[in-house]
Amino acid sequence: MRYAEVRAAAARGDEAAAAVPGRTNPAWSAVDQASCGSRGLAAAAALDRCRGSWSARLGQLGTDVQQHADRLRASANEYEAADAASARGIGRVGADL
Amino acid sequence: MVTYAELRSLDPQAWLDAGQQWLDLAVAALRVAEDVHEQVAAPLGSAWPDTVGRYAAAQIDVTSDGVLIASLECRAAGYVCRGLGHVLTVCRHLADSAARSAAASGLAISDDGVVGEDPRQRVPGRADEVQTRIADLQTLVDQAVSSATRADGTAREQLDRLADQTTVTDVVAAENDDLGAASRAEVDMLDGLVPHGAAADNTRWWAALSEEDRRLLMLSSAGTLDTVAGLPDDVRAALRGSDKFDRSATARWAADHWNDTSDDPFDDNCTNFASNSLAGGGLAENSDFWLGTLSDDSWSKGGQTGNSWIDSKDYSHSASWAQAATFYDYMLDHGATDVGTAAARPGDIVMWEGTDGVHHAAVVTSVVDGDIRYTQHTGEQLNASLQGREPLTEDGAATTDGWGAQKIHVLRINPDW
Repeated sequence: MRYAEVRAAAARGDEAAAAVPGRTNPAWSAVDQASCGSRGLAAAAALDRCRGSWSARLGQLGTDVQQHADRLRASANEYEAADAASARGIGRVGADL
Repeated sequence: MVTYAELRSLDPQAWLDAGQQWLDLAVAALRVAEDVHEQVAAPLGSAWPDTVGRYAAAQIDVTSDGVLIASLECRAAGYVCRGLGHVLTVCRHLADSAARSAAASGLAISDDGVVGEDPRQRVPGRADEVQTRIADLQTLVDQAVSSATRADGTAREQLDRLADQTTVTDVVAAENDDLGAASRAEVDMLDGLVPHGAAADNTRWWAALSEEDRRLLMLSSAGTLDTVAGLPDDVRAALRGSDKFDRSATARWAADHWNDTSDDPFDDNCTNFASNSLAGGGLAENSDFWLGTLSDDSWSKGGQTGNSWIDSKDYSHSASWAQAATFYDYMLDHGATDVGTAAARPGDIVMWEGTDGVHHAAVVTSVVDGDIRYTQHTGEQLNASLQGREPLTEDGAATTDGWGAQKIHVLRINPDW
């Protein structure tokens, strides 16, 4: 594993997670305006339900992307630590010989 | 049911704004999906090439696909909201026009949309004239209310469906089933505005529309609008075009036959369908006297036996009839112009050019807010959104069918024969 490149991918994952849309209420202001202000339309309630489903889904996707980034970083750290430990072990074996 | 009073108090712009917000979310989600795939998953191929790294990249791509699907579903919701917004806007104009006419005639319209004499004033004119005015206005009010009610029902059905699609994991299903249904629904809602009553009623309906409403419908619903009796001649001429065939009839033929594969003898019938649609709009075949369909200078179908094995042989159709690249070259050599996507109108032919040249054709059957809706065969699609499917033809399709980045051409056919 090339740790630096994996950490760079993780950093880009952080940015992507932050950029997942629809995780804040302002992102839905016009949708909320239409669903709340359309008395008499059957579509208004359906729009509200659709907004609820997809804001939750987008929120989950943002969390998933962030978890991927965190796991990449953790993997890079663990691989690096394991490789360093191996190198130290091999070095000790070499010195003993 | 939407009542007349509700129609006059609704804010159609709120639905147009909501539609735009969904579309903005779709664009932002698409960007994230691309970033996650290209900048997070893809670099792991070289940076972390072992089995665990490959597994990690695959898992990240599952999430990237999830964001891509969310983008498609948000776009679908955007089309539904925008379609309802457009319909409500037009219906509101009709209702307002009816209210103005009623006031000018000493008539009144109740909250539930019943036109009658205003008891507060004397209605001028003979009794039979007054009754005729009442009946005319009642028709206009009924058209507005019924169109708004139908569109509200369609939008509710579509949004309810989309609310339940958060577990979809197949990008192609999201594209074809969900986005496809929403794209069709938007055009259906707009088509539903077009009345099919008596010519005089239709003339009054057209007169009550704003210029913007008319432009919208001439692009979104040309095939339907063209069948309406009582429209001004210049409108009908503009819908049909000044060429040697009827563009709106081409769009209508394509929409009417979108899932009729009875005349599809080839493995891939996209260009054959585009040619059949043009013929359905009245475009005459151009067949070389001596060589017929075998000539490079023919656009013709030749005699059909009804036997698909025989009819699928090249001699039964000219190459320009059934092969995309040849059709493209032939039509450009014979008067067509590539007008570009921004100028597309129903009855034009949209063509895709990939790394291997022009390879696909479809018929423009509608244009909504600049987004081309096309109808095609193999695989069959009705009023599919070019804009909505663009990311997949550029990226998704590049990985599945190898066509690579697509260049879009819009041919306005203008035959020189």
